[in-house]
Amino acid sequence: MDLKKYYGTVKAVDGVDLEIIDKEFVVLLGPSGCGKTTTLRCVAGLESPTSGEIYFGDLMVNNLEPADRNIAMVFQFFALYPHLSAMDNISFPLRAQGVSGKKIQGKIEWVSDLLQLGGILKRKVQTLPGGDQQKVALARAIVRDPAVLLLDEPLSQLDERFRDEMRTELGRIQKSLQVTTLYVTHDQREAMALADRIVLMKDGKILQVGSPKDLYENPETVFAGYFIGSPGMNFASCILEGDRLLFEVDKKELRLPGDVANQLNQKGRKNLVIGIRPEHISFSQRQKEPVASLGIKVIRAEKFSQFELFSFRLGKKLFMGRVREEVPEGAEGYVRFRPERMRFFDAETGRSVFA
Amino acid sequence: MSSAESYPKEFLNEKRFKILFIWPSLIILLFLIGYPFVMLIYYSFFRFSFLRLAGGLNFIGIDNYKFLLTDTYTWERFVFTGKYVVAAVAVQFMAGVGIAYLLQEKFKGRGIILTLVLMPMMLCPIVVGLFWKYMFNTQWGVINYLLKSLFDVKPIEWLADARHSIYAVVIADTWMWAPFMALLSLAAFTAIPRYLYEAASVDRASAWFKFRHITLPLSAPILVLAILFRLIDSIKQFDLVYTLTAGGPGDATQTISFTLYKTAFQYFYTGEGSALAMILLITIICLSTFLIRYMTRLIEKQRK
Repeated sequence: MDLKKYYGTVKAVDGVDLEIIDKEFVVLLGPSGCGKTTTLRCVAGLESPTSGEIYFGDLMVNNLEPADRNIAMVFQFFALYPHLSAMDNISFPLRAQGVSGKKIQGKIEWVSDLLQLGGILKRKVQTLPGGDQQKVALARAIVRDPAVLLLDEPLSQLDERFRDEMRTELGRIQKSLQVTTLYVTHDQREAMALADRIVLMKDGKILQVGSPKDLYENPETVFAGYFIGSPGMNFASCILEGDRLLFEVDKKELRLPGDVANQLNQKGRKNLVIGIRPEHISFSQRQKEPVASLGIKVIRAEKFSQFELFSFRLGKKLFMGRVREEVPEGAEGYVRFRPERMRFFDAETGRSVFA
Repeated sequence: MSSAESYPKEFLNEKRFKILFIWPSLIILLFLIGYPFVMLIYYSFFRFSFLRLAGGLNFIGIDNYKFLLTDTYTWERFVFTGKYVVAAVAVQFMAGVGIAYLLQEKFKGRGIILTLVLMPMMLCPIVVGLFWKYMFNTQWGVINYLLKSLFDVKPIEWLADARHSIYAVVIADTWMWAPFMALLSLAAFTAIPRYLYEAASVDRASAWFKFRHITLPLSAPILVLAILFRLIDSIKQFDLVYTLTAGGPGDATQTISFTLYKTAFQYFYTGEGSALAMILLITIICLSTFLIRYMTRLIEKQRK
């Protein structure tokens, strides 16, 4: 589909090519300004793309008005009709279509059961707390049985407690409705929790498409590794020499397992970036195993729910490790990277060496 | 002892300073409105004329009011004014809302069109009356010329025929004041967030449905305010009628204000004129109080 949307010389969406399967929950994930919302608005028909085509099934919808696309959308700021009650907001799309009063009544009962809206239907939406407004916005979107459900950062306006609750709720409802869903967010946790597939975007381009597990375990770019996970993947640039990685500044050396070193050497690149997730780093006072192990000094350690997060310096970077046992601050010892979990990127392009 | 009290008392503390600012306008109000108003009430209970001071001040109680309220002629004038006000404000409202609706989207040349559209209301009503008088001229007026050349309509006696003269006044007044309605409507329309319309588009609402269920209710308070302004102003309609038809033909376009003008400053029945002015004032106050209540309720309803 190679979707493009330029605003003057600003390339908001620069060649997005994506196919979404029926009933799939796809999340467009990326930092603000990456073009995810613009992509969504193009799909909704609220923006027309500069070039590229959008198909719903076999139907090219580029020239169709939003009303003719059989979509429903939940907006970032809910976009509820402020002068109407919750019920009138929900029935708005039905009334706009001239659906009969009796049928509307039935639909409202159905959606209010699904979302547990019973107590608030008669209230003006402006008097409702954020979480309830969100529910009304969602109810208004699904009451019409749209073919595609579009959600633009639907949880960003909610406070944290509501957000977790609504995230679960959203997932449940999407599964029960079996509606194809395109969801935009900058919050990787939402994406990880909800998506069948995540589309990671940056600067108007798609960086990687895959299941949450896939993106988490095998980031194709340094950015993907950094953006997904909290804290994200640790990275440090290094130089490959035989079976060793040499780090700048502190001149530390990391011995790689033989097979990994072989594979890397076959690729013939010397300047690398190593990436490892915090939970794949372990700490011990004494060195247990020379391979993939480094002597370090713990700079800081803090409790993070049931885990201990500790930081140490490697090359120019600060690394975070996550372990179950306590790590004393200021202690000197050894970290070990789980060899099969180490990821290697080209220092110049930032792309995975093995991708 | 607090630190504030340790300062010496200044002559111009905040309260006195405020009072100092209020006084000049209060004095002006007192002399220009307060005094005449009291005198107006006073004179309305007398048979009295400024031109015949020798006739003296003859106290007649509420006879002036009694006379006016039972006088069919006065009632006719009220009824005409009512008809005129309803027609003019309704047409202006629809025209204004229509113009605003068309101008709410941004397009090339919108600024120029907007300026041109708003021009009439900046003109002096006397001038507007004068040139509409020429345009309505039966023989060589541009209106009849256009009607003839476009629709082959026979010349209409706009100003000389009592059946048509009310339309002439309504048209001229609409030309002048529809822009005001348009300006306020436009302000109201542009204050409505765009995303509501986007939501409505996705919700498959037609243009009319959007206008009816989003634009109108959300701009209602300001629209009612615009109507209120125009209502009060139209009831007082004088200057346009004065130059356009001079109340004629006969009394056909004589608004109540015009009647008041004639009573007070042509016949110089000062007492009777004062009473009529009081009646008009009370009418306007009642009407606007009612409308303001309605507007406030409308706003409150939206807030809740």
